[in-house]
Amino acid sequence: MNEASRLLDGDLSAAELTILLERLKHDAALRDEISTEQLRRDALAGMRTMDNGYSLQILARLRELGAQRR
Amino acid sequence: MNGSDPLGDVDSALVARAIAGEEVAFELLVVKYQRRVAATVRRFVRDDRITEELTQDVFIRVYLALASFDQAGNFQAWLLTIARNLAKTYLRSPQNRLDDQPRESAAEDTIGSSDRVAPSPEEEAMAQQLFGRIDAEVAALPEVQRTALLMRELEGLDYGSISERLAMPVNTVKSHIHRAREAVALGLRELLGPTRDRRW
Repeated sequence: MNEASRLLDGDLSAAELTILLERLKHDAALRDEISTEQLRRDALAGMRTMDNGYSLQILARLRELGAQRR
Repeated sequence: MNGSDPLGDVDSALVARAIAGEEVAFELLVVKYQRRVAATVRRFVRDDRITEELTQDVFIRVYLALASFDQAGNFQAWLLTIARNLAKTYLRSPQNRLDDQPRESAAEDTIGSSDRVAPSPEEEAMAQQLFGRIDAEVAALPEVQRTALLMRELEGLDYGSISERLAMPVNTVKSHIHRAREAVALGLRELLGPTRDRRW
């Protein structure tokens, strides 16, 4: 089973999650794999929207917030 | 539990990592729940632009309140409660009433395909192609794989419950679902290459 599925199913161990989070910081292909797997799951559950840029917009706001707090 | 056991509740683990300062852990929670939050907000405000703004606001509030989340609790339930409360607060404001009325229904947690949020024409076309392909790929699966996959993704059943309903071992259920996911993923590969819809 691929890592995206194992992550979203809660099948990773704590040690594996640590490694995966570290990889996510610089592995765009892994980020794509996870977001695509989540999109497939959402679509099957009836939530049929593309990302619409929410992730990037939200994360940009969070970074601004973090910068302001520092 | 030791370090090699499955986490089970990955959300609580991600919350803990986010509180500890690992931003990427919270990013994962955003990727995981953005559509569910948007669909929840959309039921109240019925406006694409406001849905988008409130969805962002929900995640900002959640981020700021992470330390107050009971990690023994259900993150999704907590998140969606915040989403509903924010949408209701928005509607209570006199200047925001417009002609919107909350339309919280008994079937609130059954998310329908009408819960769409601000697609551009290009995204609309892409979405139609993509979701049509998903339907086709699921329809083409062997019946046992399709049944197990839909029990998991559509009904939200855990592997144990699916195992009981299909009268087969949990590992067999996992194997069917894994094969089904792989088959659907393979069918979508040309539509979801690394240059398409990269959002994160």
